[in-house]
Amino acid sequence: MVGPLLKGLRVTFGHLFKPAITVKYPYEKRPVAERYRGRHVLKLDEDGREKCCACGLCEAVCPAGAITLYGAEDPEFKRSDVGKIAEVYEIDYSRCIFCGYCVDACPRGAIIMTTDYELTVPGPGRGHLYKDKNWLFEKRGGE
Amino acid sequence: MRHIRCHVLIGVDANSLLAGAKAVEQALIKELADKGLADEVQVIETGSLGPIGQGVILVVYPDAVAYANVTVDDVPEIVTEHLLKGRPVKRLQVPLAPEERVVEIKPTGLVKKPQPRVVLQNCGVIDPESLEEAIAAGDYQALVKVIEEGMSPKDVMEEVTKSGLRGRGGAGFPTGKKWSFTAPGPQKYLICNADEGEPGTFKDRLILEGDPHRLIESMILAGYAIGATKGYIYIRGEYTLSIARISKAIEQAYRENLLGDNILDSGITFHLEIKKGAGAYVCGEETALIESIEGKRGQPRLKPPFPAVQGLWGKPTVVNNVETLSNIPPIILNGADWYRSFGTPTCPGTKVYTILGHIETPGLIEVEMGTTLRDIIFEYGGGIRKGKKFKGALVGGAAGAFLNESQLDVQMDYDSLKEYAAVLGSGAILVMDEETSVVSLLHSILSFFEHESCGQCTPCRMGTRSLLTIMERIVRGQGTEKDLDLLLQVSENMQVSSLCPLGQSPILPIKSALDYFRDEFLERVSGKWTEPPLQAHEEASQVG
Amino acid sequence: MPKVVIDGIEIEVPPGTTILNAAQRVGVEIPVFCYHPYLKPAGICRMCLVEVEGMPRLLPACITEVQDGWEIYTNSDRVKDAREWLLEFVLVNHPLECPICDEAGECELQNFVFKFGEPRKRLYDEPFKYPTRYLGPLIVHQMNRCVLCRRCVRFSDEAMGGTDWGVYERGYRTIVGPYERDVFAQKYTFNMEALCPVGAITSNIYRYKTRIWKLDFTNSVCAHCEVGCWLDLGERDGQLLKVLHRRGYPSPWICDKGGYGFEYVNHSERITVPLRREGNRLRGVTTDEALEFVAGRLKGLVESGGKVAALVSPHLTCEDYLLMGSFMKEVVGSDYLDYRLYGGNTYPERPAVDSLEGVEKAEAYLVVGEDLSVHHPVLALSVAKGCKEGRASLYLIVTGDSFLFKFAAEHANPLPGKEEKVLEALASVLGGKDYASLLEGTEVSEDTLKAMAQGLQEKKPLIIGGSRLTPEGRVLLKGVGERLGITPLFLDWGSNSKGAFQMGFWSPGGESVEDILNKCVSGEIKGLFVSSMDLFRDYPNGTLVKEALSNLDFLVVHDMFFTETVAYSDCYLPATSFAEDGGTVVNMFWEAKKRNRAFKPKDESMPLWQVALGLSRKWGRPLGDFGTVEDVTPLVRERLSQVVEAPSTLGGVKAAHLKGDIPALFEYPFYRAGMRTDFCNAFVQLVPEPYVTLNPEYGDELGFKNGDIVIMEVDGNQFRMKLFFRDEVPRGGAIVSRGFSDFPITRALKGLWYRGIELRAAKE
Repeated sequence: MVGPLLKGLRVTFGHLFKPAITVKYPYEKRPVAERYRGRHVLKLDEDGREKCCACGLCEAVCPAGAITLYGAEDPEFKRSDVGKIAEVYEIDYSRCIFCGYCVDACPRGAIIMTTDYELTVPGPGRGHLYKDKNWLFEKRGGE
Repeated sequence: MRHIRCHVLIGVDANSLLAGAKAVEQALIKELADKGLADEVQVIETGSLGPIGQGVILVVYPDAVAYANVTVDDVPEIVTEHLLKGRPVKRLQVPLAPEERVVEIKPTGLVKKPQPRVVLQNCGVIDPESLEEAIAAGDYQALVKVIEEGMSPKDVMEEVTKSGLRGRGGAGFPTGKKWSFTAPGPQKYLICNADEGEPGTFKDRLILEGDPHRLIESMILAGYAIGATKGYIYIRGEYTLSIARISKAIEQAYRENLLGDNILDSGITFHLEIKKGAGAYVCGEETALIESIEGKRGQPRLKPPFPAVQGLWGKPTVVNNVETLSNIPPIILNGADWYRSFGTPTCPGTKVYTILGHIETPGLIEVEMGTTLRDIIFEYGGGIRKGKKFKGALVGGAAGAFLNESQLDVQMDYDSLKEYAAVLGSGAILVMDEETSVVSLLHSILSFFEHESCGQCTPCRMGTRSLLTIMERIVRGQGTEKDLDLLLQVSENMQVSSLCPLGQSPILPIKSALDYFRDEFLERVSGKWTEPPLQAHEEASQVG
Repeated sequence: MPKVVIDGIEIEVPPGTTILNAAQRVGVEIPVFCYHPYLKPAGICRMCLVEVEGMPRLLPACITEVQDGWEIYTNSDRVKDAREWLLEFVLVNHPLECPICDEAGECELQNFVFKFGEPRKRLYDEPFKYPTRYLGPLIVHQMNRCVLCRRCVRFSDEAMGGTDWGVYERGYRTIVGPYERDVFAQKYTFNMEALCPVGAITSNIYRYKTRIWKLDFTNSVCAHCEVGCWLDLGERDGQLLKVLHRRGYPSPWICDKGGYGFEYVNHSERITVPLRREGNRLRGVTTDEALEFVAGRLKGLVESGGKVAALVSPHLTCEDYLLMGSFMKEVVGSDYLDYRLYGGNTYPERPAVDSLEGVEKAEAYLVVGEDLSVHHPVLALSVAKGCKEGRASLYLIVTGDSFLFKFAAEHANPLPGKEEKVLEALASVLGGKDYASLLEGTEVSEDTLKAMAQGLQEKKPLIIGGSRLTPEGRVLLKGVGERLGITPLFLDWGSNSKGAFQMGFWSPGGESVEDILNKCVSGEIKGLFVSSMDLFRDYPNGTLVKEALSNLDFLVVHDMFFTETVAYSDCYLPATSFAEDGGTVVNMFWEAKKRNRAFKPKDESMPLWQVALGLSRKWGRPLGDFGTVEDVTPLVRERLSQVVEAPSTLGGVKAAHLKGDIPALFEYPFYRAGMRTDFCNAFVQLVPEPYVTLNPEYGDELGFKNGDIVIMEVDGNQFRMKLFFRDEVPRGGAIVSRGFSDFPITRALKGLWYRGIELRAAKE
């Protein structure tokens, strides 16, 4: 009777003195790999202009159809060095599979993926998972 | 009544004009008037006397004394000493070979060979602005012969075909054959191509300036042969003197019914009009020339249809070079057999060359077809200037090929040159001495092509540009050996795929330059090459 | 027949076939830039070079005709090498901006580099740095990307008869473009954009909006005029973003109205919910509610003895006319319905030719009473084609023609309102009668008319009667036709007048729109249904329209925008655009063509046939059980095969009201003609405001200057507008523009397109 009990307790107490595998998320965060594919970010150039020129390759390559892109002209070259910007840039995170094809396809390095994986959204429904251009820009805002 | 005892011929062409020919003429006339000789001595403007680079040239007849490098200051001396007192001014005198009516001017005293002058017969002899002198010198005799002997257009064409005359514009296509290709039709056109754009060529200009009536006569004859009643002379806009003289000649001819309806009551009708070009090299190509006359952008048309079928305004058209046409009156007058006595069996007749570069007496010469390059340079041209060594020659203008020393004995005619992958082209021979840089020369040839490409077809438009950028690299010493191959590859491709001869030409100078002077190029691209001091090219620029 | 071998495939082709066409027959692809099937071959891009056995040089496939026994290689090493070099030449200075170029995805250069290019670079040079030229609201020209195939230049020369679009400079510095214009909008500009194989000429309307591969293209028929060109409507997310003309039918070319006149579909001011009047306000209601309301009110009016009429735009489909006609006639029991809202009192007639090829074949043309390039632009190109090539001669009796006059052998340019007088004179000349007196006051010389008559008798002409002709004019023209043994081709306004007529959408009593409006004024008609047309913009009697609409008890307007007509309405029903619903349309040659639905109607928008169906259901007598437009089509097909006799319209014709000083013709500027063009932003930018044009000499006589502001006075109404000098305006007359929904120019008219006006300089 006692033998198996002690055997079990040994396992239990044994674990008490081993280091924990879990971390106290969200107070503690596990380190992620350098090339982890997390949240997307649209880059700006040195002058603060948008790098994305709305070429639509990310949109075309996206296997999940998560990207919606409409372009617009910037005739005065204030927001873009080539005169073309994305008027609408939306990523539907309810569909995104984080494959990273969009990053590979981008001819101007305008979209990158960060190690940020915290994409929870408040409330029910998927509407909050539609992320627009403002949210996607380097300075993360408008959440 | 004036009794002219003495004629002073003054050669007026672009070169002598720059040297002050007009001022000398004015001074001469004034001086003669002052001395009271105005009634005894007549001053006559004539075309080029042949040589260039000798300043103003005067020839005094009947004494047959020639003066070169005459300035205004020399005029009083000539008038008082020679014309008044009859003592030629030895200081300025140059020798003259009267039996051949060839002005021979050689300060160094080398004897130049006499030239058989068929085309240039009257150039530098008559006053080109006088119809009477032209007739006296033999112009319009062939026309009279055609009318009097009742030669039919077919006879004229046959005579020309029999003579074996080949187009002198560059391609060497038999003229009689070209004429016979014209499609039948009520309206045909004859165009004289006087848009002489090949760098280093000025033979047509001097023919036009020296004997404009010869051209008018030949155009009437050619028009008669092919059945054209309207002719155009498409002439370079820069040739103001030629335009003035030919306009005047046309005016005179119209006045004497040598042009117009029912010429000399013979029933032949021929009208002549001058069209001025606007400085495009490509307009020397016959279809581009036709487009230009029609008032369109000067760019080559697609062939077929050939101009002989659908040319100017969609009608059958023949385009002939000035020199080609000028050969016709002597052929008609003296017969095809006489003409065949000159030149080689396949290329009969004579050829007018403009020889220039590092040569003792640059200028215009007329020699038989088949004369060797050596003869032309060393006999007629007086050899290399300042006793330097011969390095090579560019034959046929920018679209021609380089020849080097080993090819000096090549016979200059259309067929023989083909064996050396060279062309006779426009008859320009640019002679280089040992100090000349072929690389720089090729560079300027390629920038010429880049500037003159009409931009219609892609290979020529972009190819000429690419050739120039590669060549610029090489000239600056920044090229590699690969660039030399690239030059060849690009020009080979252009030859294969271009629309008109312009794009097909750069291969000739490039290939021959790389074949014969490769070492020089290799030196440039070796990476050790530095810019030489400037003097080396000074002389070349004076002539070029 | 020559037999040739292309890449090992043997084929027999008719003599005169080019290598390229022979290769296309056996399915061998030869890349081309400058070649275009509908332009004359140029042979200048040298992309199509092929090797022929035994030929020293490569031959351009697009112009070389095959000869018997030729062995042609399109893939030999020499050919490949030449192609690679050529692509490299083109790319040396080509800016690599595919990511921002609108042509990417349909760019021929891109495709050829993919297929035939090599991933290496041997030549290096600076990319071109020409400035981008915004040539007005329609096109953008970027010389940097040009490959100098000259298709645009050749189109301008060959089809348009020459504009200032040309080639300038030479060699490597060659550029194309307009010589002095800053705004390039020449009625057929779209074709130049479509012809451009690269992104050198792109659309300003579509500029940078989205990528071509994101668009779904649907084949449809243009809704602007009755030539009925096939269009490919490019849709994405319920927006019509780009129009292409991929199938060369009926002509390889289309006009700018077809190519760029679609912006109204996505217009932000579009109202897509039903509205119902409550006092001074219009309140949004559900479709069900609105239909119930309309059916109830109409039923009430009919039951109380009032009449109800329907006026429907001639731009809709046969299905619309069929069901609306059935609803009006069978359910409501009305005899007043019409589609001729542009005015005029003529019905369509069967034509003498059956296709544009038939038009192109004619040896001579007589065009009367319409600026073809404005109302039937593609027909004008077909007419011009033969004249440009010198095969045909053109005789015009048209006031102020703005395009065809360049090609005309004789152009009678009569004063406004006198076209039919000149026509009468022409009939007299042909009949050998005295005609001098008829020409008085027309500004047309006797010589012109004599030459015209002679020319018409020498060659068999095609007679084209324009939409401006009155019934009397048509009779005159038919008389001329009979004398020459030809049935004229009569043109109508709108894109489906023929269909509306064939569907029986006209009053059995032969009443014209004017009669119906007069009956509204008199109170006989109490309810009116207007669909897809702003009466104030297009019906040439604004005063009458106003009176009629204010006098009605009940007005329903079925439209897309809040027009002035809607302001008078009691109920507004949202309409669909031509892209949102399919249907059958009948073109000017009486051919039935099918429009297809590019995307689903926006919000509550409904096509007219659905409105009619809904109303009939609410009325209690449903017209039938139709789910989609395809269910109605069989009925339409049946109707189209029947012969319909038009009522006589002669007798009730009014004389032209020509009182004031200057006879004036009220005519649409090109970019204002057609359906809802005043909601196309680009067109509004091109022609922002109405203007009056005079002949320069006449203008000088009157003491005006080009660009002056003038006051036009008609019946005491004053209109302030700009004055321009144009050479095509006849001396002594004026041409006033119309087609502006926000400018009440139709108030100056009295049912016809002519009016006497007074002009004076505006005080500063």
